[in-house]
Amino acid sequence: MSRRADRTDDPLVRLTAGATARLRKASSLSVVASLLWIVQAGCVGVLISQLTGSSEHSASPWIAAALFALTGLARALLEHHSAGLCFQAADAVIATARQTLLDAESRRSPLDPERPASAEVAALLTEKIAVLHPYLMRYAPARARVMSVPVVILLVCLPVSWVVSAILLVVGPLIPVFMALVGMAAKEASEKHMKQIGTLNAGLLERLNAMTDIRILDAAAQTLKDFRESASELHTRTMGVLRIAFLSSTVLELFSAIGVAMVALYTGFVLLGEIGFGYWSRPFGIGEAVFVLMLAPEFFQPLRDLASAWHDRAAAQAVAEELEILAENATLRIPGLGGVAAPSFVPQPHQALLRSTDLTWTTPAGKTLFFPDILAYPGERIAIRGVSGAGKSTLLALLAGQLRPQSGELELAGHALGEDNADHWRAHIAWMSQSPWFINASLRDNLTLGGSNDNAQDLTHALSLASIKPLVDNLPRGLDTQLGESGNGVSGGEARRLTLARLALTGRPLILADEPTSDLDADTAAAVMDGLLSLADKGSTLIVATHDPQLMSRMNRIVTIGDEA
Amino acid sequence: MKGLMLIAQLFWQHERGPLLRGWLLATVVLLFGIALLGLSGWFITAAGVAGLLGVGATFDFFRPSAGVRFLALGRTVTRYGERVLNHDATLRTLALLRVQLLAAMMRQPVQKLAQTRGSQTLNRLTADVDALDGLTLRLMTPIAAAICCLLIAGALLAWLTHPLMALMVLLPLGAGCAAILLLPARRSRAAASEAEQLAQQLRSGTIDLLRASTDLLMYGAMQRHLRALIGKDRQARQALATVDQLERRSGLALALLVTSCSTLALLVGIYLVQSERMTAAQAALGFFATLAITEVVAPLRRCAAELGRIMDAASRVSALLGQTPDESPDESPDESPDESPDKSPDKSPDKSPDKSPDKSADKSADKSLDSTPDLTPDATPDDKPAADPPAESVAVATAPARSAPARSAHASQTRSFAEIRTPPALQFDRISYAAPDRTQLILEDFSCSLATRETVALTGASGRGKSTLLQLAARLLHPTQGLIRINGQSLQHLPEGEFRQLLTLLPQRSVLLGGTVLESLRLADQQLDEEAAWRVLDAVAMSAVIRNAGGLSARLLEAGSGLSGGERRRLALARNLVRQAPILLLDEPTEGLDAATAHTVLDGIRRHAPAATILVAAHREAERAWADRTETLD
Repeated sequence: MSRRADRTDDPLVRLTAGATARLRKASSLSVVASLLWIVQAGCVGVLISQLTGSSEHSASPWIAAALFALTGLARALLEHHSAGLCFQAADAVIATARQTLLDAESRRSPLDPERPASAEVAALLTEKIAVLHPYLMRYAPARARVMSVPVVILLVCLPVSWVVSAILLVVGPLIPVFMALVGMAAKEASEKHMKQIGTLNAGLLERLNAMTDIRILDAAAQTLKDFRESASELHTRTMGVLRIAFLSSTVLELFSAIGVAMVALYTGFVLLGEIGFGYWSRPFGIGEAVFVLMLAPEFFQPLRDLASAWHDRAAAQAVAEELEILAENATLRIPGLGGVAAPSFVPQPHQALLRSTDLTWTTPAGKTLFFPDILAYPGERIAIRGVSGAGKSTLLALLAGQLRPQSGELELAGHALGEDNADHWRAHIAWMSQSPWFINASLRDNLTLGGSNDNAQDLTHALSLASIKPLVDNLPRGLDTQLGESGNGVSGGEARRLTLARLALTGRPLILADEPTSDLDADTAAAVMDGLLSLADKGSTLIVATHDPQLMSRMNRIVTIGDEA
Repeated sequence: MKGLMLIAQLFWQHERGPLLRGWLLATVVLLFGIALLGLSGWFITAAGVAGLLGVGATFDFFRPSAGVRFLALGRTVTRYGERVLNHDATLRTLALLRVQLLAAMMRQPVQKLAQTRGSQTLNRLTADVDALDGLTLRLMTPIAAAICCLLIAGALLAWLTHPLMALMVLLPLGAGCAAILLLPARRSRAAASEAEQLAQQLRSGTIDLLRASTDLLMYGAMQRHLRALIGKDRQARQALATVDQLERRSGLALALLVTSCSTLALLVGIYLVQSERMTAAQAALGFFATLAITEVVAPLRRCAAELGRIMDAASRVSALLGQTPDESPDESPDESPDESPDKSPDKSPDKSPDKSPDKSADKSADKSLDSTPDLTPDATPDDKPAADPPAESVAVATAPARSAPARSAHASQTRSFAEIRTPPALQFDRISYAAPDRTQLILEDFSCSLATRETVALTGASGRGKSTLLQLAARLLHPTQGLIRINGQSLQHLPEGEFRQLLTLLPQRSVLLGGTVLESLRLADQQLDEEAAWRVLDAVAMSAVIRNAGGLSARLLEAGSGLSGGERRRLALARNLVRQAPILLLDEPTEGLDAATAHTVLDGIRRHAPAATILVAAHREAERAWADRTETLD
């Protein structure tokens, strides 16, 4: 009972539960393949005893050789099939694990303080989850072989000589003891190693992204020195893990070698007549001796296989734990799925489009922000202002349905934000972020984000509204230009105007813009302002977080967070 | 293949000794294994025959049994040594390779850097380098050891048993291995490289998805992108399935080969014993040795797939390593020696730049004259003895030594005597600039000068080249035409280290590194102490924020994402102030700040760097009002 409880406590068991059936079948095939070696050993024993002329078997040695070959063929085919099944199992587990991770992380709020660096998630998703593959390919069959093959070999050797069985019986069980000791150390070392890889990669990505700053600050030499240190630390740690791994396999090999050598020496001395015990009614012959000599290494082989798979298991376990911890630490989740939805909320006459009452937000650091109530009627223009750090961005995220308010009420045309209607809710809101991230796709894809509207006329109109059309027309590949990380080749002003065009393209009734005129020169700021206001003129409600007095002056109303700036 | 050679060369250069020793040990391990099983088989059979003949008492069992024990222990110990040695040498070389790669990336021109997507670059540096460990561990060492071992084992087998035995076992085994290794190579290489590419796309796609998550979510595009990524994963796993299938087929072929060769050993044994050219004990030796030899070829199973992955990674990595570096001044050999900076410290710095900074016939002349009286009378250069005087002494010392051909004819004709004695701190001389892939000039024939301690605001509509001009002055870009001078010295001729001491730029977008606040500031100056750190934080009105967040040891999240936009901006500005450079270029320094904070910050900058020459790309009234005068780009 307690054993069962232990097993379900293991994150790896939970992660790979779906693979059990396939792995069980693969394991049986693998066990049968291993046992066929006993037949092959028998063939060779008979054959050699015939060659020495000591055999009472009348069959020709050629027949034994043929049987040896055929059994070998069957064995190879069984092993091949078993490996195929394991691959299918591993593939299915990895597919599920990746999908689960992507689902969870994509819906984690950027305001979640536990949100890991994107490069860390990417590393987990690709190379770390891939560690499950060798584990699933090797561990279960090896484990099944350990449970059965040594026992069968022990029983088969017993009729020949109880001493041989005794040697194997004594040396064999020592192995798991050592293995467990070494395995525990390996697991700990391997966990450290995996963590190190993640942070090294994240640090490297950061430095590569900050390369211009590093150049300007003349910090290249220092950065390189730091990186050299972390690379060499990684090397030391990796070697630490490997030394333990090698040591454990060395222990195994040592036992296996000692076992085989003892069997060889014992049988040799019995055949010479130097030793007179350990056999039953009469001493065994050359054939039997060869037979047990061939079986001795196979007695240890499953243990060695399991030991090397043990390290795969340790690595897989570390990944499974990391996946679970990551999932458990996700405190701030974005409601909804981020799917496509069509806007359909229509405010009743005299009903506000957006209404918030007594909203508060407690930051993870424990600071509680109290937000002023907002009542926005269709077509209204509202500015939210506050000193830096007063919570303008947090309030905007709340209003945009990116966070569920901890207390207070929030309604869009009379509909409260809930888990089920979040996508639908947000479909009414056009969002303009302060520092957009352009995905690795064409300018067109970045503008439409795969949404419904890539109608050429609407695109042209949106680009004109954002006064970025001439610039796009000037690009050699126009809307097919590829954008890179942080919008390469796109200046701050261009990026802002592109997000304005993106927003205009949707035609949504509520516009939320976070500092829409920051980072911009006067002309561009004016252009962005005009663009936003012309959308408001067409009936959209406009809410901006800003500190720009010019933008504020063009709003109907100003709401202040915290004390007056 | 060329890439592979380059990487192999790197291994050879740095770890030749350990690799050779590792290879030797690997061969010894294999030979010990063969000897152990062969000897055991022979011993049993020979002992059995002796027992049958009744001569067991005279049989020399001492040497074989000692041999068996020695081989059993020796093999285990050698194996451990071989593994540690090979892995250590390989991983050390790879650590070195990572550092070399980062260094190579750092030498690249800034524009090229910006084009390289961070996540892709990361893929190269990690996945590719990781894949390269197979070059020694799974290709070079096992193959070399296997070949060596097959030859030695063949010779021993021919000597101890019969040449026919050696020939019949080892020829098919060698030929079979070569076929298994080489035949699927091309297909497997293609599949492996496809799988690798897809995995990298999966990785950068994940980074995109997470970084753009808010926008994707707001526009209902999250599910679509998620599905696309999952589709990418399916493709990647399919490619991997092909690789795995090829590998399993190789494994099957290898198992069949092993069975065939052991059967052959049995058949040859039967034939030779029956024709009385060999004893049964020798036949047993031959068969058991063959069984052990098959262990030699087991690692070859993965070689074909591995080779593809490694060759791909090697070609990408070596391409990155071999890229032409940025034309940096201290590397250009054709530089005339008299233009290199003269650092004679005995020339007393001229600390009163009361002369008109620039009387050249460019359009800024009038304005700079107008602004002369405003020049920072309250400046106290003594505040920063470390940064200022050397810079000015360079200027004084080198200005007369400048050779005429370096200047344009226009400039030399209009240069006045006074200007040669105290050249402007920063001067743009008829600068034109067009982006590399565009013909349209962003800047055309622009000239302007800044006197020491002057603050000049650069204005003009977006896209007129304000940021470009600052990047040109910061040597992140190179002008298509014209010259930029610092203290009269052409920008191109200043060594990188010295140049960065003289000038620093706050770009429009700067990236903060994770780690603590102090670590983040120390990027600009490794020696920065806590007191100085608090001083710069004070200057940018951030000390209260940082104190609330937990002080200098508070941790910043990725790219400073724990802070608001304005806070990030001010921290980046603080990092620039740490440099204490005599020339400050600021690209819209008060972006994202409310008016009150903006004023505080601008005042803080001046207070912190009273003697600095400042060029600010400004769009806010506050920034323009703060400057001594304005230059307009149109």
